Amino acid sequence: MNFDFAYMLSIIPQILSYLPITLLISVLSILLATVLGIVFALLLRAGKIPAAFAHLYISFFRGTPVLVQLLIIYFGLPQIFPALNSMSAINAVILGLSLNTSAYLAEIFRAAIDSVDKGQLEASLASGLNLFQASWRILFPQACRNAIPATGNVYIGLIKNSSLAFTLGVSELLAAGKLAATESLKYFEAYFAVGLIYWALTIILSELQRRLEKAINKPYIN
Amino acid sequence: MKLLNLALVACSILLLNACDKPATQADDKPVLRVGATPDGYPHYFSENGTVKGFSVDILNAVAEKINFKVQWVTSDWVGVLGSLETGKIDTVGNFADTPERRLKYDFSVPYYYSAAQLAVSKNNDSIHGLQDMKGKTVAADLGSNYAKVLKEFDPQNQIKLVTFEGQDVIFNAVAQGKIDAFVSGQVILLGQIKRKNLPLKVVGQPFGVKQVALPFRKDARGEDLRKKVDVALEQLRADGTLRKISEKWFDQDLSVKPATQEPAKG
Repeated sequence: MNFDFAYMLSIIPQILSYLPITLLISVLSILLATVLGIVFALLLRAGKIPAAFAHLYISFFRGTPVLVQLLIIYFGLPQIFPALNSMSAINAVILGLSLNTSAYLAEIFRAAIDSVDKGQLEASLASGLNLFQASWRILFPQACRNAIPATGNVYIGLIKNSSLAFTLGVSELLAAGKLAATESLKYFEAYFAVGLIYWALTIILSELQRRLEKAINKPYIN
Repeated sequence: MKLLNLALVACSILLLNACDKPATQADDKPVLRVGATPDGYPHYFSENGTVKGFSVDILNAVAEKINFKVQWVTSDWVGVLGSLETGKIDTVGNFADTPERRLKYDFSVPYYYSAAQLAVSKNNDSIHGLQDMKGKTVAADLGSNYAKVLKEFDPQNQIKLVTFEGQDVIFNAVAQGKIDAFVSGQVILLGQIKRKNLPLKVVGQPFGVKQVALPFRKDARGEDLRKKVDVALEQLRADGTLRKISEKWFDQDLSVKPATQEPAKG
């Protein structure tokens, strides 16, 4: 096996030109998934019927492969609801990844909310805060602190799942690598280059997470 | 007792030998490892656990001539190309012989000639061929040569190309009107549309005829296999087997180069 190192380096800029599309998918999905995750975490605590719905939702999106979900959203649903046919491939990917990831996040957020001691709420209410103030200023920061490590993992998973967009015809990082590979017939060089870019993305995200954790932990350091 | 033991041992050795025999005999034939995708109708597809298809028939006939047995290795198309690159397989059917690919692989003599064609949704009445594709979007299969052929016929770069992995996804995207057309091999399109009863139709003349041959790695084993295969293919052409196999699958003889037909460039 003669690994063409120079070729690997030479195609990195070409592959990087597809980075914006991967970032667009990842960032929008992360935002939407986080909002949905919070909604479903709250639904789990909001009475029998909303909780049952949230459980069904979480069970489905954690229990089926992301690729299957993307294919259902992009090709399956328009057959039932023709209006959805106008949805572009990239929107379908963002929607699919958000729904999938939010199911994981809902469980993480639920656990994070549960991890805050009940006495915290009781103490804040006793000291004159109303329920909203207590939730926002006392419970939320503590729950956040507990949720961040697991949430970071889920975000990293989402970034890599964005490569599934290629199945729907969206050309992103992995697609760029595969296109380069099938053109030059130098497979491993191309995949290696793609791997390095994903790795770099993950390192940047982990660093952001580390700084956020540090900032949030400030009140706890004596 | 001792005698009984001895007899038992002798018996089992005989039995084991008997078991071994057919296996060793089968191993006498060297193996030609060929890559295929499970969904490559009409070139290769599996039905009731066996691999069938036009290229399969060709490769089986070749293997018989050179006294090899074929071992089919199936994966998706990108996996097939990766396996060829690393020597996990020896060759693959339906791989157009192009100058770029010749840099990497040695090719046998061609066994059929393939032309590209467009397919559109059955309900599409506005696209009748390449000339109607200006500003439209066309899907191509990753790693297939047809995207390149299309580009040769689109010198002003007016057709938007989208690459997909997996033909089934493309069929859906075109049928649902998400993509205007699909560029692929004429016989692949006709075969798949008929076999799967797809809501698609081929439009316009076939274009960009390319010769299709069997690629081999540029090493000692590859060279040896290619020489053997070349001889076998020439013999199969001379005795009419190539023509017969082509007519069986396509009702026409694609094993000879068609008269050059230049369609109106769009």
